Amino acid sequence: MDRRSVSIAGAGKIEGGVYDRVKISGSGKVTGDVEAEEFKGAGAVTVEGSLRARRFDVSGAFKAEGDLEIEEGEASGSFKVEGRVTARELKVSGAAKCGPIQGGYIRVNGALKAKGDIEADTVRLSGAFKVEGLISADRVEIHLEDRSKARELGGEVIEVRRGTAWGGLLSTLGRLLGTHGRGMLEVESVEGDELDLEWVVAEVVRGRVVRIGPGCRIGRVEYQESLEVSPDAQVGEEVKA
Amino acid sequence: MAEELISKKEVLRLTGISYGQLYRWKRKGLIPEAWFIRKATPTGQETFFPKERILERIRRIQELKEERSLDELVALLSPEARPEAIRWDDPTSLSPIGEEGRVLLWKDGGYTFPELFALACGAEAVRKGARPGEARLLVDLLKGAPDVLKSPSGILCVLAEKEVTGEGLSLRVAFAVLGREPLRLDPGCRVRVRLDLEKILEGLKLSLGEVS
Repeated sequence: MDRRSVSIAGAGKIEGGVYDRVKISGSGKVTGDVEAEEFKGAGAVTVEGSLRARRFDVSGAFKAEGDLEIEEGEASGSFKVEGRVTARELKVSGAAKCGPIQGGYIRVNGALKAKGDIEADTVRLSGAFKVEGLISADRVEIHLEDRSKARELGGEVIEVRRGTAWGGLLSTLGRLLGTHGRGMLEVESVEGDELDLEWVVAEVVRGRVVRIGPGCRIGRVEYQESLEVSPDAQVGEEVKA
Repeated sequence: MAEELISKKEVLRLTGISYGQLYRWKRKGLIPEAWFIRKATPTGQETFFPKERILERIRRIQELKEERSLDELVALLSPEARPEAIRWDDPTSLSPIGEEGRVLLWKDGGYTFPELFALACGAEAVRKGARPGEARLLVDLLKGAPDVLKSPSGILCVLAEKEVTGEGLSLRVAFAVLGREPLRLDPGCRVRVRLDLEKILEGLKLSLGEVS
């Protein structure tokens, strides 16, 4: 099937529909659901509906009023999706706000607010976040730059550290904003096979091999194989299952 | 009577699976979200499951996971969860397709859910008296319209025929039509088979769930 490509430079509107490539630089609006092989935006881009694309690249201010479903993509700047995000691979740097996220590899550097669960094969979060649901992945890696919150963490390997993975910019920003050194994660429960936690406040932590590092305050730790607790951590109760 | 619940810890202990596996299976849709019941206990938040169903489900997964891919498992165990993940190798094993559908197959395996649906419609037409060649028209038509699956209500699918006579020549042409109600064909057409898409879709989902 022959598909059209559209491109906006400056300000304009695109009707929803099926396209080969959509390219917006400047300020653009898509009225309705859109499906494209490739979706590129630089500037202010609003999709008044759902967006489906194989390749997705936006920088500046992006907003979708529906769902976002992509194979792979990157977003930088402000990224807002009111519905659900599904991606085989998605990298976001900047400020993200969205519904539940589901995918293969999900990485967010910066600030993230998610209404719902984040479920993927690998989840890497760096910065500060607020996730209303469960963060679950085979591998969860978190680098905390500021106060963060999630309802639950679950998976196979879970690692939480203070400080960002890519240091530089975010921690400089953190110092400017006075958030540096405030990295901390508040969560009801952490469950996984191998847990390596720092600066986590949780009611309960359950795992096979557990390391409770500095800054943690845990109500109760249940472990199967081994438990290591840092002298700079507080654990209410330790139970070997 | 309310079903007996079992804690997540107990599930892991009884089945020998890991947290990682349990969460992975949940993510892949093998264990329904609704079975995760969160409750406050004296020792903090805990997740509980309907005991019989979760233990049975995990037993089935463990039994089948050696020979089937994760996507096939989803199709087998909870087809409703992720129909888009279905890849089915043996369509005739599903009752809505059955032996009648064998002549309609066009590849060795890896049938997707929309393709299975197209086959089920074709097979239904065969059962209603259509010839394989005619049923294939329906299959080809539906195969190319996967969006029908999203809201099949109000959509009509018919197999019709028309006789064209000319000078010393008589031709019977069969054709498949897919459209919204009201669907109008010219009076010279005769509708051979009318398909109830909703019912076929439901039957297919059901049988995907049962084969397991």
